[in-house]
This record gives sequence, structure tokens and C-alpha cells, in this order.
Amino acid sequence: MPGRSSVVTLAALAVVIWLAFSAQLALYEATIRFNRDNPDPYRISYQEPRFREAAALLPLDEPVGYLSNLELNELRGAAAFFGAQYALAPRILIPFPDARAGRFVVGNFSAEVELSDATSRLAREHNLRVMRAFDNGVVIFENPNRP
Amino acid sequence: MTALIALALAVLIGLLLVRLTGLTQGLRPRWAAALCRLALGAGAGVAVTSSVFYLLLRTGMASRGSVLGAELFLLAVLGFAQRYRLRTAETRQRELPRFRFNGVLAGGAAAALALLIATQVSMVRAAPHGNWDAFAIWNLRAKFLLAPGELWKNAASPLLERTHPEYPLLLSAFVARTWRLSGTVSPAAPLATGYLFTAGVAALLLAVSAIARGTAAGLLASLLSFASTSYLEQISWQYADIPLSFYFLATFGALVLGVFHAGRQAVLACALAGLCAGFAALTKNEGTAFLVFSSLALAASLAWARGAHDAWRRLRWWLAGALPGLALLADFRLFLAPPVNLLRDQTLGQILEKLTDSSRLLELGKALLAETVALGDGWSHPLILLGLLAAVLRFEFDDDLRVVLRAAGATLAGLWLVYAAVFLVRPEELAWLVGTALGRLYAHLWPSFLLLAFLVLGRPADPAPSEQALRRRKKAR
Repeated sequence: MPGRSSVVTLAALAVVIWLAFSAQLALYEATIRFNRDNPDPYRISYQEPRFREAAALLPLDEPVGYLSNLELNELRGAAAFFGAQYALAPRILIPFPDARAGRFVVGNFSAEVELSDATSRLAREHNLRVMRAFDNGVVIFENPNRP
Repeated sequence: MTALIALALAVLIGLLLVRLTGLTQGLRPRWAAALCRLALGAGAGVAVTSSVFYLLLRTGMASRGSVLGAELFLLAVLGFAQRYRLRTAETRQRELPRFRFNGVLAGGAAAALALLIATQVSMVRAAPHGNWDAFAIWNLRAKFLLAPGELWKNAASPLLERTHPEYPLLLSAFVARTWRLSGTVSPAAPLATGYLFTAGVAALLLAVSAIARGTAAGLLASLLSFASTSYLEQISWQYADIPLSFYFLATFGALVLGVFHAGRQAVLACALAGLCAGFAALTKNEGTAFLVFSSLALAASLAWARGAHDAWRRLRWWLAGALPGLALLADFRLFLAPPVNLLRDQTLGQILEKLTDSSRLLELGKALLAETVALGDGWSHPLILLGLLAAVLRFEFDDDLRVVLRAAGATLAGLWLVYAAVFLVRPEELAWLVGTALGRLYAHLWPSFLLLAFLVLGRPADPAPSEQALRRRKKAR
């Protein structure tokens, strides 16, 4: 096989080794930088402990409504919804109001809202009763209109 | 730690299953044969134990004790069956070329691997729950599968409309099975699963290339995979795309290994390849398209090369291999999952209009080009490196590999076209679709593409002794 161990081939292989390594180096540096600035970007690690007490009060066998001050069609709102859904699984969360939701509705509020104001306003708007408000922005409502 | 033991049990089951076929028996280099066995075994083990867990769920017997009991029983049966495994050490493998700089290539690959491991350690520390689809789809559904009684069926509930309840369950069921066996729902199980598949892809790419084309080819394939940064970024995401890319690669890898055997190992290679293609269908919806395309492409390639009779003889083994995955998928689709409706009730006219809409075609073309560019980074882009290698090593086609090359090439090309067509006809905004999915779809095909590239590229090799003598004589003059 002429040429397959020539100086040109060996030089090309050296270039391939160097460029593959430098690609890894660039990826490493970019990853370290990104992770330093954005650890756990969707904050999923915080959600399981945050919802633990609420989970103990919610049934497994009926869909649970979901309310939040964050819009579901925005990134933060969607991340908050899926964070809550992941933490509360195997319970199914359904954005409220929805007729398919069962007796309970879980509220997931971000730090920038005044929790008691938001809770009482939403309870009034949706005709819900506040069952338990935790001090980490999680609230459990009961829907008295559901059997 | 218990999650890792549960993972090791799955790998051991798969390893015994693959060993039974004798597919890597007698192949050289021996380290590459062992690596192939381990990688194929890991993928097969994950799929087999995931399938067993699914069957136990279906029969209402998926307690920790029964899952462990079923797997230990399977292990014992496979261990006993080793007495009957194929042992022929005779192969049709040709002498592989020697290359005295393999150590340098291996050193480069090892240095890149060390950096990759450091990158992944950082990712695991920063985001142990993976990326969006991990907690919104794959691991979320694994949590549903752990629900008591019949509530596990909620993993496919139409109420989970933002979670794709119609997606197949291989990955989620394996994570759930590992959680159940380990007794704790920790990120360790999905993380370890993701890295197992990544290691499987890396090992297969290196080892199959090394067996088919020599150690240098395998090491170069590894180096190019280290330059494929867009693929490597997805490792820690815990999505089903890397596992799917593994099953695509394992399908072609098994077919390549079969080329070096005559007799029963060759047909068992078809069965193992079919098994992997069936598992691909059980991993993601795109896997079903892969199964269809690869079956058709293999049938056509075999018929062309060997005639209809011999083609059918091998193809029936392929189909038999694909059957377990297909049967489980059919059960899931028919009795559990909500219907797949990719096109959202669009009329044929609307679909045809989208397929021929020039602005949409142009937008997709630009996106495909942009994603191809994004596969790597600047001068270290893997396609530039491939071009450089092709320029110095040229191409060298091996007649024995032609059937596999044709089948694999046609499958990858067909899938790429189907992916593009689906993007065109989906009702969602095209920019959003390509922005969220195109990189992952490229990831499905990329390791198989790299394998094919190294099966046709020339190999670096030491000059033949006569050539060396000639050079010495010229130098002396």
C-alpha cells in the first residue's frame, strides 16, 4: 500500500491526533465555564426535597391540578412545572383549571411573589380552599366542587 | 452502589447471551473481540432486563424479589447454556496490517478520553438529573413505572400530554428496574445507564473497526469520535438518543462481525443484528423507522449479492432476532400507549403542499447544513478530519463487507431522508422543530456513519518488507 506510512501520512495522523485532542480541550473548557455559571440550570435537584411534605398529602390514584404564578408557555414556568411533576411522580399533574383534575390542586410559587397574597387570590379566583401552605412556595388547595 | 451492582447484573446477562453466539470467537485482535463481546453484551443486557421488567409489570409481578429472581434465573439458564455455545475458532478474517505508530494513536486517544472523563465529572456534579427531556420524559416515566398496583400504566397515560406517553419504554423501564432492584430512586441509575451506552458506542466503534480494518483504523475512529463534540455534549443528558445510536451501531457491528465467520456464527450474527434493530424500535419511535429501513436494505443487499434463496436463509434469522423487540412494542402500542399522531390530522393536500414548499425546503436545507457544521468545532470538525484522512489514506473497499456496507449505507441515507421529510410535514413551527430535535437526530446516525467511513477508508500500515528493502537500497545509493 504505497504512501500509507509516508511522511505525509504520518504528519496527517499527527494533525488528526492534535485536532481531536484540542476539540476535547475546547469542550472541557466550555463545559467547566458553563457549569460554573449555570449549575443545575433547571434546579431539578431542589424540587424533590421541596415537594416531599406535599407529596405525602397528595393521592397517587387521581390527577392533581397544578397552579403557578409562572406561565407554562415560558421557559421558567415550564421548568417549574416539570420540576414539580418529576418530584411528585407517579402523581399526574394537570395545569389547572381542568375538569380532569381530582380533588387536590398543588400550587408552585416562585420566591418573587408574596405567597399569602397569591394563594388567597388564586383560591378566590378558582373557588378553592387552601389546605396547607408550606413556607417554600408550595401550597396544597382542595377543590370543594370535586367529590 | 446497589444501582451499579444491578447494572452489572444486566451486563452479565447480556454478555452470556452474546457469548452464546460465538460471534467474537477466534477474531483478532483479541482485545477487540473481547471489547465487542462486552459492548454488545451491555446493550443486549440492558434491553433484555428492561423487557423482563416490562413483562413482570404486565403480569403484576414486578416486586423487587420477583425481578431479582427472574434475572438470576435467566443468568443461571444462560450460564448453563454456555456448555452448548459455538466454539469454532476458525474465521475468514484476513491478516491485518501492522502499523508501528499505533502506540502514538492510542496515546492521543487516551489523552482525549481523560479530558472527556473530566468533562463528564463536571457535568454530573452540575446537573445530576440530566437535561430537559430526562426529567420531563425518560426518567419521569421511569418513576411512573414504579407506582404500586396498576398505576404504573400511568406512564402511558394520555393525561401526560407534555411527556410523550406514546414513546416506547425500553430506557425508562431499565431505569425503573434498576431503581427497584437498588431500592432507591437516585440519579445514579439513569446516569450510569447513560454512561454504559456511551462506553458501549465507544467500545464498538473502536473494536469493530479494529477487527475489520486493523488496530490503527479503530484508534482513528475513536479519535474522530472525540472530535464529534455535538454528539459528546449529549452524553450526560440522559436521553434515549445515545442508547438509540448504540442499537443502530450494534446492528451494523454484529453484521460486520458475521462477515468473518462461515456457517452458524454468520447466521447468528444476523439474529443478533436483528435483535439490536428490534431493541432500537423499543427505544424510540425513530427506531421503528430504522427497523423497517434496515430490514428492507439488508434484504435487497443480500438478494443482490447472494440470490433470493440464501438471502431468505439469513433474513429469517434477522427477523427472528427482531421478534422479541417487535412483540413488546406491539403490546405497548396496541394495549397501553395513546396513538402516535405526528401529522396531527393534516390532509394529504396540506402534507404535499409542505413537502413542496420552496421556502420550507430552503429553511430545512439551511438547518441541515448548520447542524452538519455544528457536529464539530472549527478545524477539528470530524468531517474535516475525515477528509484529511481520505486524502492521505484513500479508499480501500473490502469485497466481503460489500453487503453490509450497502445495507448500512442505504439505511442511514433512508433514515436521513425520512427525518428531513418528517420535519417538513410536521405541523409545528419548523424553526422550533429543527432547533430542538435536529442535533439529537444526527446523533442517532453519527456513530454508524463513522463506522462505515472507517470500513471504506484506507488503513495506515507499515511498508511491506520488500518495500522497506527497496527504500533502504535507494537511501544507500
